[in-house]
Amino acid sequence: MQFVKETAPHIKRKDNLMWMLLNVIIGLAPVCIWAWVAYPLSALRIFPLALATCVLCEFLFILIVKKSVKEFKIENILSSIITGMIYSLCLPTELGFASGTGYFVVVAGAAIGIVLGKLVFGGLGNNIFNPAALGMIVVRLFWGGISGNAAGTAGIIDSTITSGATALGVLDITTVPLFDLLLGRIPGSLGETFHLAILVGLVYLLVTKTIDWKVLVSYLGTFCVLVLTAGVVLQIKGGAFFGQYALYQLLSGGVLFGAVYMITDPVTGPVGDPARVLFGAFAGVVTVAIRLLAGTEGVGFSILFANMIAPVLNYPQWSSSRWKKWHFITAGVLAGVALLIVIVPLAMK
Amino acid sequence: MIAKTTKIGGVDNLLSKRPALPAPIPDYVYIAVENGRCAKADIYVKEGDHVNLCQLIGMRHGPFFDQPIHSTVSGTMVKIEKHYHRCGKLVNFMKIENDRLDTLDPSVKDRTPEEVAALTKEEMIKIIENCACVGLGGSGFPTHVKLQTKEKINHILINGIECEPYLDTDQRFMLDKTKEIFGGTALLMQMFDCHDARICVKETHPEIIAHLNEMIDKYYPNQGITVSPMKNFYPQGWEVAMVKTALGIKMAPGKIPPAYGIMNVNVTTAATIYEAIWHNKPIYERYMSVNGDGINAPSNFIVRVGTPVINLIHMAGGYKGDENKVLIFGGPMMGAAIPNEDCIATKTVTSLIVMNESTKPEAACIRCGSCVLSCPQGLQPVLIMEAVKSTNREMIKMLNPLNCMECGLCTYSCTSGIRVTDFVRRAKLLAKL
Repeated sequence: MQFVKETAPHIKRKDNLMWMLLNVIIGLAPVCIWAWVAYPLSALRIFPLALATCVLCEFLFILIVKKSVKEFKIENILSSIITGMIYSLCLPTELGFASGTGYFVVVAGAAIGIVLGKLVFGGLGNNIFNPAALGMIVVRLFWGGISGNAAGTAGIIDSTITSGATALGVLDITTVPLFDLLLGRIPGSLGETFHLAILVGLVYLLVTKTIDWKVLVSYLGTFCVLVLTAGVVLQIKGGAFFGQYALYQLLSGGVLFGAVYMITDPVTGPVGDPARVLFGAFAGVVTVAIRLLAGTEGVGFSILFANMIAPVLNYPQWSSSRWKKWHFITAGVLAGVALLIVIVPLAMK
Repeated sequence: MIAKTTKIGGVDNLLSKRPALPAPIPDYVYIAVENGRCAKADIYVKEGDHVNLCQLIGMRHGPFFDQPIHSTVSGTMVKIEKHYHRCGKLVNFMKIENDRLDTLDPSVKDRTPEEVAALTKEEMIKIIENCACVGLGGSGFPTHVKLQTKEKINHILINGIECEPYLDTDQRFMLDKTKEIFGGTALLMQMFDCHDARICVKETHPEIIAHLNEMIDKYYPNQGITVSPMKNFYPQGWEVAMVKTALGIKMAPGKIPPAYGIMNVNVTTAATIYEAIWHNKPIYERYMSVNGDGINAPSNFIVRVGTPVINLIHMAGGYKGDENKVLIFGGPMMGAAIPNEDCIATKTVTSLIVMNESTKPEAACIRCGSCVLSCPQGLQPVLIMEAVKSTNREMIKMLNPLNCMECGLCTYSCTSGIRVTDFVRRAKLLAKL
């Protein structure tokens, strides 16, 4: 027994980083299980490849930069597994596995995502971009064409219904089976469509306080307010009932998945309550803007855009944990911009 | 876990439910010659001199005040030795052999109620200075300096909150020494001509609140002394949080309570003011918790000032387990770890906490923001840490680290187990440059 001379405080909270990362994995488990049950063949091809690529890249990075295998700790393994899992669940079920390119696409997307999104910035805790979101975007931009039903992840809904086209104005949304969307019976990506499983994971993450509910609520809240407004505008112009439109927007694509598992990643977000609310609201505005104006899925892009403004929100004046005048002014400006770039063009169409 | 910490969990503290044990008076007591505030001192006794209990045996010289040194036993001055002080430095201690007679010094004499009623504020402050009253909640700030404020005092707050885990000294003290606490409070009210005094007690101690209310009804009815129940969170005992809960006044950072017409003193300090003015007696024994997860029989003790730490540990049943130990004077959140057992409990030591070394490993910061959510001053410890790591001095200044009062919640709540408070301390130094 020895006496330790240390600085105050001398006690620490019982939780630790390993458990926090494990909780994320447990929170992802319902979606993964559902994916394995629903698409066993795709899951068998995508999961092992993506996970192995992420862990291997992380290991090589540690070996090259830290020059010691001992630095490869359990937290590194867990965080790269999380990246691999989220990335896999975002991928389309059909990636051209028959011709063999699909395997290459999975590995390349995962490697680019984790290396360019995370490791070049210094690894765990230092990354600016969400590696899974970056990997998913890379696959979509580079190899979007090879997927049989890439629209499921890249577009808003299954290609058989929308033919990859934008929903707004073109699609008669009264034909969209909302109940099937909720249950994930519409094929698309490996995991993004299983909304019930995502909700189970969300409850677990919230109960264990693994994610900050403020980002999630502000993201989903902004998204819902904007699509409801858009729905009202469309209904006035002769479209379907606005509630149905909003539900269709919420349940299609990766909004819920992105909101629960990607935008809440603390490393790539700001600190402090007001900054987190603004961060989520910004991502929500970008998502809706891309969906309505570009006519394509905007969750992944909006997360990367929001990741880019996170360092700005971490500036001392913004990141305080108490609401200041500046936060309200910014929120007001953001709301104005959202109306201007989202709703006004829609009404003018 | 991304969560705001308000309570330090996992500690069930029941010490105040049991009586405080009178600790055996050691054969030798050690009285500090210098301390953290006073670097120089004169000693009035030689080796071999006989000293009485409460006799003036020296004078410390601080930057703007002098502090008398009193003996805490009667006996023979042996020699001057080096031991560790609670400030972490090796300082000179007077070793006094105890003759176990406790012969009181003739300077200790009672004042009649008429004499006390006739005392002016200046005279009282002089008595308090001569009896070396200091902030006994752990700060050690000289009480007479604090009382010399020129502001008009409208409220007196007596702090009996003790929000730190494992500390239960003041809770027991309030049950045992109620008369002295009320006496000291009444004297403060007389001194400032103030008619509102509140004793702040945590609402989780209904037995203390009931006891104090009963004693107020019995001895001090209709004089303006009341009991204020305080909320159960950390850091409720911090003066800013206490003033806010008790009076609803929000203090600006950097301001002290007298600027708002408030005088706050600890319960033990209030009792010493009573002893000083009624009996002209300096403090020679105090209540002390010996607690923590590394000690066998935690208890509250009535300890003679100058008892070595090793005696306290033996009294509390010795160390529990073979893990590395951290010895702390004060609470586990803000207290200072002492280097080893060769340390002396001075009068400002509220407790000795023996903790097993924390096994939580340090991992990479994932900016979960728990420190930002928990900081009672609304600072951003994680950003201060990043600014310190990159020695970005402009950024450090913008983050106002000087508002930090080192409550330790950022380190406590850190998911990755990083000692964030150390970085904030460094930022405070850098911001002053």
